[in-house]
Formats: sequence, structure tokens, C-alpha cells
Amino acid sequence: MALPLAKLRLYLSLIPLLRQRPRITFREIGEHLGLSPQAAAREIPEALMLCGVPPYMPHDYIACFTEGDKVTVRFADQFKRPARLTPAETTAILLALRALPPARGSPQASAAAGLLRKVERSMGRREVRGLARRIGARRGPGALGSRMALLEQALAERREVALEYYTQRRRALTARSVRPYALLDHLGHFYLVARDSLRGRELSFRVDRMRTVQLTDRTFERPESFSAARYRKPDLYRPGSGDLTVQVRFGPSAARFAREISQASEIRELSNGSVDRFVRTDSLRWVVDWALQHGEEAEIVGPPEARVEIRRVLEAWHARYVSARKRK
Amino acid sequence: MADVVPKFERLMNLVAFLLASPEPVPFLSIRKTVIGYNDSAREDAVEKRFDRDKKELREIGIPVEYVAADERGRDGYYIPRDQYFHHELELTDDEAALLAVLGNTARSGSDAVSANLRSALLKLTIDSPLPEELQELAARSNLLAFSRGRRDRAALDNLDRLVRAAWQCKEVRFKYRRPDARETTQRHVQPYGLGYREGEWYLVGQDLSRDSLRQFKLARIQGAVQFVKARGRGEYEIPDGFHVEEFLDKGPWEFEGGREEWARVAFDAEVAWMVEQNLAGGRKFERRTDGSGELQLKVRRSPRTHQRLLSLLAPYSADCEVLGPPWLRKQAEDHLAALAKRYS
Repeated sequence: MALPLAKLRLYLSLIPLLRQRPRITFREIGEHLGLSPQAAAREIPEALMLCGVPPYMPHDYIACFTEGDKVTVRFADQFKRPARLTPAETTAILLALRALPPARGSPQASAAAGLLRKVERSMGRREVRGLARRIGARRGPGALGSRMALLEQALAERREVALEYYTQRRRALTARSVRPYALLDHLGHFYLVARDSLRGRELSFRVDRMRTVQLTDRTFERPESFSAARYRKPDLYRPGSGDLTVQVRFGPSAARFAREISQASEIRELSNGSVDRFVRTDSLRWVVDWALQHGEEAEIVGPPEARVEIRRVLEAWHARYVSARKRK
Repeated sequence: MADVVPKFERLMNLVAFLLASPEPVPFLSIRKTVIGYNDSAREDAVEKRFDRDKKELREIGIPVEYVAADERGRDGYYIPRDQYFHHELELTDDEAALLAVLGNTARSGSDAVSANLRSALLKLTIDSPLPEELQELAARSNLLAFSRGRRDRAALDNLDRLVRAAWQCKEVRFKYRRPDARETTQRHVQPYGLGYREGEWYLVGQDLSRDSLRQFKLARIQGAVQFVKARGRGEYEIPDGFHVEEFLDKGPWEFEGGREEWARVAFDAEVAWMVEQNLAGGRKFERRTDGSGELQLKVRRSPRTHQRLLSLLAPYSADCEVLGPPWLRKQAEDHLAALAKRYS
């Protein structure tokens, strides 16, 4: 969309909010617009001060009063409400609601259902129903929903949780006692961020790898210093001093995908269209599984021990077929 | 001097004027009084400017209408308020808190949908009964939905176009590179729906070039998505019963190849519980008494079926084994041998 139109659409939504909430802070507005408070303070008065209606007497112009970090708008009575949601905006809301964790019966699930109903009513139920069939997000199976509901309860009641958890890196199922701090949606997978009693530190656990989730009667206080925003990054992996760097080469047909992988790993473009990713890991097994998912599109280039490991895994997997054939 | 008023300011003035006017406004009145149109440019140039602006306003959902003669004989342009204004939603506290939580998703995303979500939330937040500090508290609550992956500019534009195409039933063309192909092929598609799965966007639609329903990963679209010249809105009908979420559970091995048939994959006890617990729609799982189990899923026969299945099977590697059909088992054995050979 052309810049003036995008800006117009944004301001037609912003002005009613400014009217409704006198002395709203630039920080809050900036969060809505994706701007810093300083940029919001600079841009908003400048954009609005020259807009008005004939005969363009002083009170016919939108007036923007700033007082420190707060702003108030006057003489914009025609913008009493925002414009209706556009199809693209409705799509975005619908998708955001559908992508929420499937925790049946939780307050959040009820709120999501209520909100969806109200958006449907405001748009025209028939129109949104059609759209609901066409825009979707995969949220996981029903079993995931029951685990998510338990974890949400644990978070709300600050209760410790006993988990049976499968660690992909070590291919092992372990019993854990954890203090849940937050639930995250990272690239379509749900994670629990919790303090792990076994390791004595904060870790993230994929919910679909939890075999069992049990609430305990032990309660705790979440540390003041905890910030879920720390996890707002492309890669949840925390590099350690003992990490290996594994070079994985993607052929030209998978190069675009390789560029988009959300990992904080170095990337190198090759002249033949291939792409190398340099993945830091504390587990050779993890990087082998990851490379294998791409089959012949990805090849581990080095270090030698990583090539040895992927060969070992492939040979063991292949041997399973050979031995079954020989048994027959 | 013609057209010296910036476009944003001109459009704001026009919308403000039409919303403030109690009755339809003739073009002449707009031409004479509204800043952005009352300049010294030639009459036909201003008229063209106005026509262009009306069209663009309509495209972003602002209904600029014309009435030839209303019940009192007046003619001119107007914005119907009942169609323009967002209806009040009467949100509960929990719903308002949820909007604040969704704000985290919007703020942290860099894709076109996040931009639209930001703009939608701005509209809905006006009906929030919560004071600012409670909204902020909710936003910092336990759930954070974020990180939809990095996208380059072209991919963002394509996503935006495909959302519009799916909404308005507009046919599109694009170049697509399958994961197992070096060359791109031109596709002509009727978009039925868009879905998001594990950090990736997918388009589901009728591929007119292949005469079949296909799923396309947006990351594999090369270049820009082009709208096919419209013959009007609603160029095609989406079949009754279509639901995009049914396709999101499907793997790439279910779309291309011969007829659909059931495959069987055995999983050892160490991991069978995980496969069973996270079973996607349209698949079956049978647990054995020793804790191991057998997954049944639909596949289509092609030379690449096992390559495609690896995205599902590789995390379990030697803890799983394709049992059948025989052609797929043979393909798995040969494929794994070929992959192992690369490392010898």
C-alpha cells in the first residue's frame, strides 16, 4: 500500500483514540503504531496540524496539544469512531485469535471466543464466516490443549509442576519439577519458560514434548527480575562456551528457506546459489536431526565429528530396514 | 500552482469534509473549498485527481458514495456513516485484556499481517473498558505470542497480496520453486485460503496450471505475486465445505503424486507416546501393548515421497521405520542408503 494511504488509514484509527483518551502518552501511542515515543511526539502533531474542514478557521483545524509526554486532540468531532475493520485487518485479528494456544475452558479461550463473536457481529457474520474457512492457523491436537490448560492454571496459581519431558538433544525422557514463569508461542510451537529444579536455572520446554503434566501443591513467587520479553528473539537457544559450530549447506532449491531460518547463526552465500548456515549447538545429535529433516537439500559440511555422527545415525536407520528384510 | 498539498493531507481533508457534511456534497463544492482540490490546476486535472483519490479511498475500505438525487433532491458525494464507522463492541475485561496480549504479537512481528493486526487493534482498543495501566499489565501477562520468522520485503508484499486475493477471490500468477526442483514453474492459482503453520505461511488454492488443489509454501514463491486481470470481484467460487485448517495438517507428501493411499510407520516405545499425543488430523495411531505404536497416514506415490516424509520422520530417525506400502518401504531404504553414502 502506498505510504500516504497507509498513513491515512492509521491516523483515521488513531484520532478517535486520541479524542477518547485525553492526555494519552506518546509511549502508549508509539506502542500502537510501532514507533518510539520520540518519533510519535514528533510525527503526530506535525501530521495533524494542517488537516481540517472548510472554511478553515482556526477551530476548523484539528488541534493537537502536547504537554510533556502527553497529547490531547480537539476539533476532530467528525472522527468520533474509527473506520470499520478492513478485510486485511479482520484477517489479522482472526489469525491472531486462531493462533492462540488451544487451552479449552481457560479464561483466555472464553475471551477469544467472545471477541470473535463480537468481531463477526460488527463485520457481518456471514462475511466473516466465509473468511474463517479461508484463514487459519494450525494449533495442535486436542492433547496439547489439555496440557496448555493445566500450564495456564499453574501460571495463574503460581504452582509448581511435575513434568515428564523428552529432551530431543539427548533423546531421553526425564522427570522434572519446574516453576512456570511464562508460556510462549515461538514459530508456531508452544513453550513453557520455567525454572528447572534439576538444572537450577531458567529453561524453555516445548509443550508437545511433555509426556505428562501434573500440578503440585507447592507454590512460589515469580522473581521480579523475570522478563518474558527476553525471549522475544529469533532463536531460543542460548549459546554456551562449549558449543560446536556446524556448517550445513543448503542447495540452490532450498537456499531461500535456509536464509529465512530463524536462528542466530552466521550465513554465507555461495556463488552456485547454495547457502551455508553455521549453526552453534551443544548437541551434535540435535543438528543431525535438523539437517536430516531437509533430506538431500541439506548436507553437513563439517566439522568431521558432525559428519561422522550423521553417518552413524543414517547407517543405524538404514540397518533397521536391512535387518528386517533379512529376517523375512 | 497545482497539487502542492501533500497527498496525505489532501485525503485527510476530503474524508474530514465528507464525514462532517450533513448532506451529499457536489464535486464543485469540493473543488472550490477543500484544501488539496481548490488549487489553480486545470479543471480536468483536478477531476482526475479526485477520481483517483475516491478509488484509492474505497480500496482501503472508506466508502465514498455518490447519490444522483436523494429524497430532498440533493446530489453529490458522501460517506455513509453506518458503513464507515466501526460499531461499538462492548468488550468485557477479559476480552480487552486479550487484545492487549495480542498487541505483543503485533509489536514483535514484522510481516504484513502484523502491520494489519496493529491497525486492527488500534480500532478495537477504543472499546476497551480497561484503564491504560491494566491494559499494560495484561500485555505483560504470561502469554507471549511472537516470532513469526524473518521475511524479506518481497515475501511481505506477497503475503499482503495473497491475503487480498483470498479475501476478494482474485486469481493470481506467480513463479514457484518446489523444494525438489532447480527450476521455477509458472503457476496460475485461485486462492482459497491462507494458513500459518510452525512459522511458515501456506497458500491453499486451485492450481489452474495443474488442474488440482495444491498447497504452496510462501517462502518458495519466487518474485512478486501478480493479480490476473480482474473480470470483476468474485471471479470464482470457493467450494462449499472448504476449510483451510484441514489442509494445514497435511504434509507435502499428501499433495503431489499418484492416487492417495495409506502408509504405515512403526515407532519404538521411547517415542510412540509423543507421536500419539501430537497426532495431526486425518491420521491414525495404534498403540501396541509394549508401548510401541503404528502411525497410519495418507501419502501419494512419487519418486520424492520419502524425501518429503523426512520432515516428519527425521526427529525420530532410527526409532521409526516405514512398514508399507512396499514401494515406500523400498524407497525409504534406498533413500537412507543414498544419504549415508554422501558421508562415507
